Amino acid sequence: MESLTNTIESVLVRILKPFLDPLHGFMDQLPPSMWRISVCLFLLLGALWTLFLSRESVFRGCKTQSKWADLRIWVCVLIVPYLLIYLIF
Amino acid sequence: MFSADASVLTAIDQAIIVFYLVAVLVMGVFFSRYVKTSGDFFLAGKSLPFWAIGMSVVVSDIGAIDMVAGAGSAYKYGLAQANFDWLGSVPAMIIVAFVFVPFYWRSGVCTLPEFLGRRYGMIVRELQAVIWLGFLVSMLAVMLWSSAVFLNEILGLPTFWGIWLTVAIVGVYTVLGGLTAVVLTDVIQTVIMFVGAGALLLLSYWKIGGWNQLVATVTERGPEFADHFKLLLPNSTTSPYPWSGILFGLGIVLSTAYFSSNQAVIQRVLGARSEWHAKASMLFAAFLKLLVPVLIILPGLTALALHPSLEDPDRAVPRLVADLLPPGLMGLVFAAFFAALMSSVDSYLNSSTTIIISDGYRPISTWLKGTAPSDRQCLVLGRILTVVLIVAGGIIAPAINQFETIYSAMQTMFSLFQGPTLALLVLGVFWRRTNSTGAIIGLTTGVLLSMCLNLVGDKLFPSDDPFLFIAFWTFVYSLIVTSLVSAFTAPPSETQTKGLVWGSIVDDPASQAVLRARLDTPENE
Repeated sequence: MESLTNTIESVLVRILKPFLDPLHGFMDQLPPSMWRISVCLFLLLGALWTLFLSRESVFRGCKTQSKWADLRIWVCVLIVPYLLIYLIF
Repeated sequence: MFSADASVLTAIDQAIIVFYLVAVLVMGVFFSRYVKTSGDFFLAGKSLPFWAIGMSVVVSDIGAIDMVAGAGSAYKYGLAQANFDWLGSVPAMIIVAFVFVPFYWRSGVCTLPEFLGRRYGMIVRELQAVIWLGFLVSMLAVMLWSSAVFLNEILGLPTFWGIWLTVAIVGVYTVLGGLTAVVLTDVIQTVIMFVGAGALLLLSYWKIGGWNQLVATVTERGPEFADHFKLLLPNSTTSPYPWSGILFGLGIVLSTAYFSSNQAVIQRVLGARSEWHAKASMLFAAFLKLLVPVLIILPGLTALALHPSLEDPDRAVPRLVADLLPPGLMGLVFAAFFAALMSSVDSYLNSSTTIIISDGYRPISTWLKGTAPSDRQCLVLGRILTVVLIVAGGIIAPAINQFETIYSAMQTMFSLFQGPTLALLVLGVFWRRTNSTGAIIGLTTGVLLSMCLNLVGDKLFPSDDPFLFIAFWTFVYSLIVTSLVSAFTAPPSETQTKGLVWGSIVDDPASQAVLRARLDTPENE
C-alpha cells in the first residue's frame, strides 16, 4: 500500500504541482475584498439568470398567475439576505 | 455525548419526550389511510404542497449529529462552518429548482440512477444504484445507532431497546404512511427543531448579553480567534474551509451534486402536487436554510464565549443545554434532537426502498418476465422492503460502534463519486452528443483520480483536509474526459436521447410516448 501511495505521489504530484501551485499562489495574493466580490458575484449570477426564464415555464403547474406565485420574485427576495450576510461577514 | 445531562432531565422533560414520540407514531398511522397505490407510497400520490416539502428537505438534511457536530465545528473553526448552509446551498437550490426539477418532472424519472441509466445504459444505472444504496443503508444503520446512544444517555434506556424503539416508531409510520407520513411528520419535526434550537439560542444570548458582547468575548481570547466571525478564510488557511474551496468545491460542485442527485431530495420534490410546487419547494427550503446556521452554528460560538476551555468541541451544545435550560424546555430541546434523528432515519429508509424498487426490482423483473411488475406488486414489495431494511439496519446498528472506520471509509468513498457524477449529469442533460462510452470512462477514471488525490491531496493543496478542492478538480476532469471521449466515438441515436436532453421537446406527446414505452420495454433497460 505504501509503495502504491509513493508511486501515485511521485507521478501525480510531479504532473499536477506545476499547474496547481501557480493557481494557489495567485489565489493567496488576492485581497479579502476580492474573495467577497467573487462570492457575491457568484450568488448574484446564481440568482439573476432566473429573471430571463419565460413566464410560461415559471408558472407551469400554478393555478394563479399572481405576483406572489412568480418564482422569479421569490429568488430576488431570497438572495438579498444572503448577499447582505456575505457583504457584512 | 449527553451523559452528563441525563441526570438533570426531570419527569416533565421525560414526559414531553415520550408524548412527542407517541404523537409522531399516531400521525404516521393516521396517514396510512391515504396509501392505496405504489405512487401514493413512493411519491405521496403527487399531492404534497411546497411548504411541506421545503420543511422536509431541510429537516432531513440536518441530523442530530449535525446539530452537535455543526456547533462543535463552529466552536473550533468559527462562522466559516455556516457556508455549508448558505453559499453551499442557496445557488445550488436555485439551479436545481429551475433546471433539474422541471427536467426530472417532465422526463418522468424518479431516481438519479434511473435518469443516468436511460441516458447512458444499464452499467451506469446499476453502478449508481449500488453507490447510493450503499450510502443510504450505511447511514440508516449509523442513525439507528446514534438514536440508541442518544436515548441511552438521556433516558437511561439500554442501547438494544433504544435501537428497537426507533425501529418500531419510524418503521411503523414509514411502512404504513409512505412518503406522505415521512414528509408530514417532518413538518412537525421542523417546528419542534426550530423552536427547541431557537430557545437555546435566545437563552444563551441573554446570558452573554447580545451579539456585540459575543464577538468581543470570543475575539479577545487571542489571535487564533480573530477569524472566528469571518465567513471567508484565506486560501492558505490550514482549516478545511479556504474561501476558494468554499466557492469552487462547495458552491459549484458539491452542493449542486448533493441537491440534484440525493434521492431523499428528488423523491420529495417529485411528490409535489404540480411542477410549480416542486420548484417552489426548493426555494422555500432555501429560505429556511437562512435560519439553520443561526440555530446550529451560533450556539457553538456562544458556547465558546461561555465555556472557552472545552476539550471536546462536540460537547458545546450539550453543555449549553445543561447550563441554561429550565425543566420543560430541556425536554423540548431533546425532543428537537430526536426529531432531527427520526427525520433522517425515515428519509434514508424511504429513499433506499425507492432505489431498490425503481432501479433493481422493476428493470430486472421486466427483463426476466418481459412485462413490468404491477402497481400492487410494487406497493407490497415496497412495504416489505421497508420492514426488511429497517430491521436489517437495527441488526447492523450495534456493529457500527465497532466498525467506525468502515463507516468513515464509506463516507469518503461516497464523496469520491460526487464530482464525476455531477459531470455526467450536467453533460447528459445539456449535451445530446454525450454517449455511454464517454460516461463510463469519465465516471470510472474520475473516481480513480478522486481516490489518488485523496491519498496525496495534502501535497497538492494548502488545506489539511482538501476534499473541497478534490471535488472541484475531479468534476473538471470528468467533464473534459467525458466530452472528449464522446466527441471521438459514435453519438447516441436520436431515439435514445429523445425527451432526455434539455431542448428536446419533452412536452411533445410523441416524446412522452417514447418515455413511457422505455419504462415498460426490456431492451431499453
